[in-house]
Amino acid sequence: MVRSGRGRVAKLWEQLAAHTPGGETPGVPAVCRAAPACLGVDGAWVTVSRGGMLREPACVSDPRARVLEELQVTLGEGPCVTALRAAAPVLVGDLASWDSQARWPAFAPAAVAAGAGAMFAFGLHVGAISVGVLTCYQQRPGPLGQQPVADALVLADITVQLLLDPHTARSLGEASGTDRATGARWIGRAEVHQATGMISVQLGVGLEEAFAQLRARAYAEDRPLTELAADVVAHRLRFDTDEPPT
Amino acid sequence: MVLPAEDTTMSDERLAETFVELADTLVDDFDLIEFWHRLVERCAALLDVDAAGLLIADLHGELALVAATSEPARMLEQLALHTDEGPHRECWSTGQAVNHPDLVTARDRWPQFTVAATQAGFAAVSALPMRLRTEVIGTMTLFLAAPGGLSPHAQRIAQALADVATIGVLQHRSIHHREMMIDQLQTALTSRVIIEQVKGVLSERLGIDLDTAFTLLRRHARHHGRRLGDVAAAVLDGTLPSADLTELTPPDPPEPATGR
Repeated sequence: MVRSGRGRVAKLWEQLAAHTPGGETPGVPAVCRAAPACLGVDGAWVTVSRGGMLREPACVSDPRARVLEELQVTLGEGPCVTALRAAAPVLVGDLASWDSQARWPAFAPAAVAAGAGAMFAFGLHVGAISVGVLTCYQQRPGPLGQQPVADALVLADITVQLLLDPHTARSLGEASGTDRATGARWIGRAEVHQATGMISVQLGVGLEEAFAQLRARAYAEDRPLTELAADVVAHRLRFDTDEPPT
Repeated sequence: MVLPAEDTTMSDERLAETFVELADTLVDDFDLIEFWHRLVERCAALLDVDAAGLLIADLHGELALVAATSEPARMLEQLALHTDEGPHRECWSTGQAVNHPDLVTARDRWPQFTVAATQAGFAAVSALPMRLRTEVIGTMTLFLAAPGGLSPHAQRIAQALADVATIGVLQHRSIHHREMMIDQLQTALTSRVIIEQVKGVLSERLGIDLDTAFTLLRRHARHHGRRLGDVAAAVLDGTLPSADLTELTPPDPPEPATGR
């Protein structure tokens, strides 16, 4: 049920905490460790991208996941590479199928040989900005059920927050409904994305860099991202002048 | 707000035109976000309400504003995000239509919402569920500047339009499975973020406000039969120069069934 969303988020954060060494706060590595239990898959990895290319792995759950992750980077194709540019997740129930082999002629046979039967890749996006991919695999072919798909989409969203804004993401994990309402969850906030677009023109940089600048400033000034973004949108703050914020 | 009785013939015509127009839009591979925007605009005009917005539940269990009549969009967004209360939330959690014809008496029911809505100049509110079988995927919320609320007739039409908004999700690329619907909604929410980013780019580049930026995007998409998300992406990757968006200076062709 879509309406059970808040319960789903809380459950996933509990899983992340359960897969984090005692005393530490959950980070991206916990996503890979928790994914098998959360989604009923055999393993997962998160690859970070920059400038539209997949770069280094942020975490892998097991040795097979590492092999698969290396294959995708070496061969430059596969569900994960496709997912980096796709708005929707890339769900491949059978890597050995004719369709899969035709779609990824180098990767699909190699992945099957490495012991993967099915693969599900979720792009980590903030609108037009892609920060990486969360990929899960199963040894046996078979679809990912509707609940795991929904869980994986939320886990992907949490991963985006952990990659970009670990501080806020962690406080979100501990937050109750009211704290969430204060705007810590910026992903759904229009002004953050509008401000990113405006800053990219002010600085003559891409959206990725503009968003990084916005986050860096919020961090340096210890202000909520949403508040800073609202100032940019209201023309109270520009990024191309040295004036201090009002 | 209430459709006067003597207007029945006229509004029946407008009603028919609206449904024909919306049905015509539901072709293969149509643009869900543009469809939703058109729907709330038609809804506001047809029912003579002062503002309308569609809020869709994301997988986090948060309501996200996906379409709204222009002016109060910002207020609706704030309401959706800042408060855990309000007609939209009540409608979404119960699956039932919520009507409050006079916000003066709503302070106990929704303290924060009532203050915000009253400050924004609204006196009455209705929220209609977007129901899909046993699920509620979102709500259509209508605001009126004068107290009184919607007539039962207008309420039925509003619910029919909310149902059409839901059908839009189903129609899109013939969705048979629940997970495909999740994909569909998720994709719509992602392209909404892209559109917000591009609105920011255009407003800064062209020195215009965000609403005007959105109007330019929509107009270009409509003139060229492209999706809003595709036009937005083309602006970002530079294949569509911003100047091309402002070239279509002549006003939009008269639109049927708006009545405004």
